[in-house]
Amino acid sequence: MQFSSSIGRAKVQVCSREAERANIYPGMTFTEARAICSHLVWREYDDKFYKSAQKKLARELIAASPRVSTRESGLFYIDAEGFNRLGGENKLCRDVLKLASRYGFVDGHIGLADSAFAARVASRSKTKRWYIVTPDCDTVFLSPLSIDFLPVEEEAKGNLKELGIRTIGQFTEVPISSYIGRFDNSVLHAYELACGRDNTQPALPVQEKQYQCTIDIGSATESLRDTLFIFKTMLERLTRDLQIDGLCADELTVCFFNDNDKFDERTIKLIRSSSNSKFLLDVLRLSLESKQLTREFTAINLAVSRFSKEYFEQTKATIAQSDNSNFSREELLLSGDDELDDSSEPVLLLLQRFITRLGEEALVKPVLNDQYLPELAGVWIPVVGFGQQSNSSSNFSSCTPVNEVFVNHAVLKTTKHKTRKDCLMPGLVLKRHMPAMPVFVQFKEKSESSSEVDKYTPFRPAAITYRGHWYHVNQITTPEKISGMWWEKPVRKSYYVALIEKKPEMAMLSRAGVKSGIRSILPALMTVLLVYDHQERGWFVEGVFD
Amino acid sequence: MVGAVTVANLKKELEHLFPGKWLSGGEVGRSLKTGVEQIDFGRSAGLLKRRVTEWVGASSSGKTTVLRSICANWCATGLNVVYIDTFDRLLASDWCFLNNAKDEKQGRFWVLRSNIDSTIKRDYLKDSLWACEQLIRSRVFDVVILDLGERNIITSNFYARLQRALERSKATLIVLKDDDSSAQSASWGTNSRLSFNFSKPVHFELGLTGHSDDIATIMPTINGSILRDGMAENIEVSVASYVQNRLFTHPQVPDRSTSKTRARA
Repeated sequence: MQFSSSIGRAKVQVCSREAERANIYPGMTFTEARAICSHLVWREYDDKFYKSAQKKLARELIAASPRVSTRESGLFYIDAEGFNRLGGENKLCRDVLKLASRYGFVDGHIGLADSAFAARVASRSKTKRWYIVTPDCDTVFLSPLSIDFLPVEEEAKGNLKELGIRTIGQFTEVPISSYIGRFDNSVLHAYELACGRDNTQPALPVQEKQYQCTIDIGSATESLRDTLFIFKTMLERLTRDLQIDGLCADELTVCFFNDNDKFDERTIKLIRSSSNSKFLLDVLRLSLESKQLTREFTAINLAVSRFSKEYFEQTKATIAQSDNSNFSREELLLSGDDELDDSSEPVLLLLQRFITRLGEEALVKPVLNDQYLPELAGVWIPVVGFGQQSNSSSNFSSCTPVNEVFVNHAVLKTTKHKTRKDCLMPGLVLKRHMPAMPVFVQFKEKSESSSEVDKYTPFRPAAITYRGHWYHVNQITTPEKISGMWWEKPVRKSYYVALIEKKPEMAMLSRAGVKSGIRSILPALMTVLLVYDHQERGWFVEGVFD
Repeated sequence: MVGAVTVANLKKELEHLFPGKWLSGGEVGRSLKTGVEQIDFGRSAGLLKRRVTEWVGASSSGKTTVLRSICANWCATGLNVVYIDTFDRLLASDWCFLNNAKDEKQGRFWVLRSNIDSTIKRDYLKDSLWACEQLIRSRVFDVVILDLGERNIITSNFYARLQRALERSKATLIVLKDDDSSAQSASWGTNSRLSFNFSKPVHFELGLTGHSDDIATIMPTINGSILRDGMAENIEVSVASYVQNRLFTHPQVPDRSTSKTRARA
């Protein structure tokens, strides 16, 4: 998918046959595709995930042939030599496809040839699941095929076609000396491949190192201190191994066992890869504090489930004037400690702590959203992994950018009005009640406003209850009536801003008034957001202006 | 030694009378200016860095409105502010203008939310206090605002912990409380106390018709009181009326149009 500002507007670039069967086609937006296929899920592309799946399958293919190598995503080179006495090459192809389908890869194709390039081309056969090229006939097999199969740039292919070279056979008929100087190295390399000279050979698989530790204590433990001591020992060993190999941990997986029963498994994502045992121990401690173990354990397994190569970065160095005013001196400051740089060490450590203990969506920043309803006119976007983490992107998708022309117009309109002493940021701050507080409302009697009927607020509230107290509505605004969101949950509301004053004569009726001696923290004068919900047919105080 | 102390005290007194002339750069650097004249050049002379300031008022008193304006000033000058919203009461749309991503020099405004979920049993107040200490210790933020709502109980033990953390940082801690008690002194461990409340006269903005019943906005006057070192001073701040940004926007309607190539069942 091609990602634009929001996921809803992202367009499908390519799709599988299964997707086409569900009527999803390239060019559709994500919203359109989801309207057709309700169980469509957005997932961020994860290269590591694909690579690990490929490695896992390669390990299984060893059962068919001892030499297996992996290349680009979805491509395997398997040694097919010496299978004549083991049922032949056809049996090998059948076994490999059967093995792959056992792991869910049911649409695999196999090409078998003397050279890796010819085998790769043969695997693209549309009619056969496996295609075996006759021994010593790679060039014969390749010669009638189009030059589109050659691994060269589109521009070079176009040039070749303009010269009248359309098949690989025509390409190899011309001596290589004719290409030297006229085409780049990729064409020369393709020439070698087309002639059946390919050095690519499947190799014996390299056993991938796994970074994990298991400690069987032998007795039940539940003390945090003891657990941390065990973790410290394990981490020291793991980080030493990682450092020797020049690696950093990206993700940790901890399993707790009680005898043979695995009762807790937690995966801890690190926002920045690290091989610092102290930091990793801190992260594990926070994880244990935020989500405590349900029972005592007898063994722990700690694994570095994801790791990456360690990289080194030059610390920022700035020259700053010394604070001491007596003499001018310049100081070299390493790393911008004072700046809130998302990639700086203190910020990352801080964010990691918050993610581990409070979750990814705890630390947020406000962003405008193009919506009418006050509660949707802005959204909280997680600070961590803005556009990187899959969870945060789901939140970001709900945010529609606001046309800044309107925003600037609104700000200008309000800030130039400086009539009073301090023209602070305009408007009052609303503090919401979660959920909205239902209230009793007493309406104004018609006789009170003799001739002048409230044509602006025909159902003007005269008094409301708020937390057990009766308040007289001193002033109330003309309602802002908003309806919409019919595509999700319909909303029809009338928003009033009301200035309410305590009603002393009605205090006897109030619940709190009966309980004398309890000091109320409610003030005499309040400004509240009073809402009439037409859907619910009720009055609510959605928040107070503070 | 005694003479030096006397001169320093005299300088401070003169600074109150003639602000900005008597204190040296180092002494000025110890306080954080708010951009509000009455707070910066009055009894409090700004908010002291590495100290706890109480910001109190009843549940609808204008204290958060004043604080938001001050946060806007701080962010505009490049200071980083974090607000700990213990009970998830803030509305994102009220605070969006503080973060201007285009201006690199502008400070950040982040909010720590509890994401209250009634199904999960968690001590949100405890988490907020833990987060507050971590934020101060990180030395990343210039101002940390801890909104305790109506649960305005912090033990003296925790105040001491926060104070210890503040001494090793550059931050100012503002403890925001819903409290209308007219206390004559600040809570234990706090340096100064600023209390606010709505009062009359109330300002109105009439609607498009201009009729007296057609009121667009209501804006009460915000009165304040600064209490520091046993001395109190009253202030008055006013807020400009504001037309919500959402009035200029339109709701997002989902794209329901389906592909023309969709096969008919």
